[in-house]
Amino acid sequence: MQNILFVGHSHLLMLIDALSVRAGGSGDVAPSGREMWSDAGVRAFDFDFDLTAGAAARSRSLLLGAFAPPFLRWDRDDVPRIRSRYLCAFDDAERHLDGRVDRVVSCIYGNEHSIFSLTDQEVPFDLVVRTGEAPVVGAPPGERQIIPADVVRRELGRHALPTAFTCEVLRQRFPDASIVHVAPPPPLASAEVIRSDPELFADVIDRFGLAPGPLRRAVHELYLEQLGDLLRQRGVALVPPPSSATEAGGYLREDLRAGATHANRVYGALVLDQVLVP
Amino acid sequence: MTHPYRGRDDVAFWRRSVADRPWSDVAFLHGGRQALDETTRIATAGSCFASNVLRWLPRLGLRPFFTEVAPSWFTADEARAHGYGEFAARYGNIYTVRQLRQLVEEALGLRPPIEEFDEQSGSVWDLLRPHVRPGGFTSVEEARLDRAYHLHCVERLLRESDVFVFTLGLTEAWVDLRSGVVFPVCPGTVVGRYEPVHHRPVNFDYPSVVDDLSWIVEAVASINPRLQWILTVSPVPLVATHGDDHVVVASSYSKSVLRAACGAIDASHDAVTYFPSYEIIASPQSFGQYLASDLREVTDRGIQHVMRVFERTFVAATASSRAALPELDGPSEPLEREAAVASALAGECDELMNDR
Repeated sequence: MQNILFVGHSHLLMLIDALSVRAGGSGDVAPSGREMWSDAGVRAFDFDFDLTAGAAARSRSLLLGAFAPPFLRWDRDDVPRIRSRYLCAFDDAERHLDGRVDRVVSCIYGNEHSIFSLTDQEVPFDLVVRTGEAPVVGAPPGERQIIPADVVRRELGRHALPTAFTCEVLRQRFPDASIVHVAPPPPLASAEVIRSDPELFADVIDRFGLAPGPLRRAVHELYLEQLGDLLRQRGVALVPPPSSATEAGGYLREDLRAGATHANRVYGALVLDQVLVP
Repeated sequence: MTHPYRGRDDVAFWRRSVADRPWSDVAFLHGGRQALDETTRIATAGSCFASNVLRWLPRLGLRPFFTEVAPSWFTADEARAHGYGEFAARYGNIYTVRQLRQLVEEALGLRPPIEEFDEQSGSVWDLLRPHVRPGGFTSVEEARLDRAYHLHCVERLLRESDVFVFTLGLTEAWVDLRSGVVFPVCPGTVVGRYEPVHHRPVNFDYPSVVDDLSWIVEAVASINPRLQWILTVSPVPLVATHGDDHVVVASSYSKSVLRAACGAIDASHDAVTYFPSYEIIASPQSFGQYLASDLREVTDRGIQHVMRVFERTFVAATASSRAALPELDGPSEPLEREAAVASALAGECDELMNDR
């Protein structure tokens, strides 16, 4: 029996529904993303399923609301401590998983790159990702500020730090488990599709306009580079987006979307194929 | 008996306005031609001395105008390293009037963008802006796009500024004989490669400086008729001369040409005012009190004096929320000392490379 703990915010929703299907359920179990936007709590979802013929798995998914506080707080002596609600949730999960967590799958946070790149900046920019490549957007000369890719990397690394830091907490709490972090899905190509269900981003999209697809795609790629490096330093593997989930240009297939920046349970099933190894 | 000198203001007389008063009390200008306040969009450009003007403007309750700004998520160090915040746009030091004319021609589309790029070890350098990208650009295309965006910002700057403070630094420069392009520093000193066949020294004379200045003022007036110019001459002598004269003699020539040209343009263009920062610092009557130990750099106390006169001359009484300038008689007390030192170290004048 493999015991698996899933922990995450809104990007965990797709996995919860996919796990439900794996466990023979309807696949319509997870709350909506909209419901989680104002949630500050932790919800648990349990599924038992077969990994392969003869190999079973037991799982608990801890779904954090958008307003759930960070794992760590600093006490009066400035010592970092895991908040009691998470201590309780982790302890309870471990009990449910027969006292042994073999694998932790993190879907913590996941929209930091969207915050940076979903809309154009106040001064729209472009960048050359690698030496010899063309600029990502390729607007007419003079239209976009040229930003060094290294500075974008540095900034995205800063955005990735909370995720890496949180995974480190999981590493500390579950030292015997293998820990992986699921990369957020790639961006959608179509501006029209994004605007049809903008999630929480409607106002900023109206105000600043959507960033060009190639820029959103490049930022996603750079973000995963930075995130992967930070996680690797902490002994956590980054699970990349499934290659079958992308269309030409590396964008998320439209049939796999859930809103402007999330993916659905079909995508979730593809991710589970990657993470649920016997 | 009457004559033209009778009835003139005291400032016209040496005995009344210089001989009998402390240097700090000499009224170099009386009655400015404009009243600057916090709504005035003030652009600055020029040699290393010009960056001092920009640093002091907020302390006078004035607002430097920037059209090329770093994204808010750049760190302060990143912004500085990429040439942001030093002048109104990322043109770096502009030492000669010809260099400014080149830039204005490009920005107004009167000549194609100047692509003096040098590629070395996989990095590409813009020889006209050697400090805007640490480590160089990744490709000529990236350098070209960056320059195109920069020129767009310069055009906007020229079109939207209310006041342009230009500090004239040098008459000596280096030119590429093939293109006529004038460089801020000789290729090979900071970036690029010196090619004796193509790169020649030039020492702009009085007629050409006057012609360039006049052209600049009139060209910009065609897109921004209300722009007012404040011209100053940097009192900082040359680091090195490419001529045969002693550097003191070469500096004297340079500053004389620039000073004379400023006077001519001030007299012939209503939109131009000459501001005597050169006289404040470099006049023999100041007894060199504002010179640093190298007898070249200007101390912060000297800059304070210059900016105090600038304030008296140009700043409206209503300019708000400004920190009081320190008293000149007190110890030299640069505000934000650590930042000023760090900035001075980081923003070392390119011209210094001529002596390395």
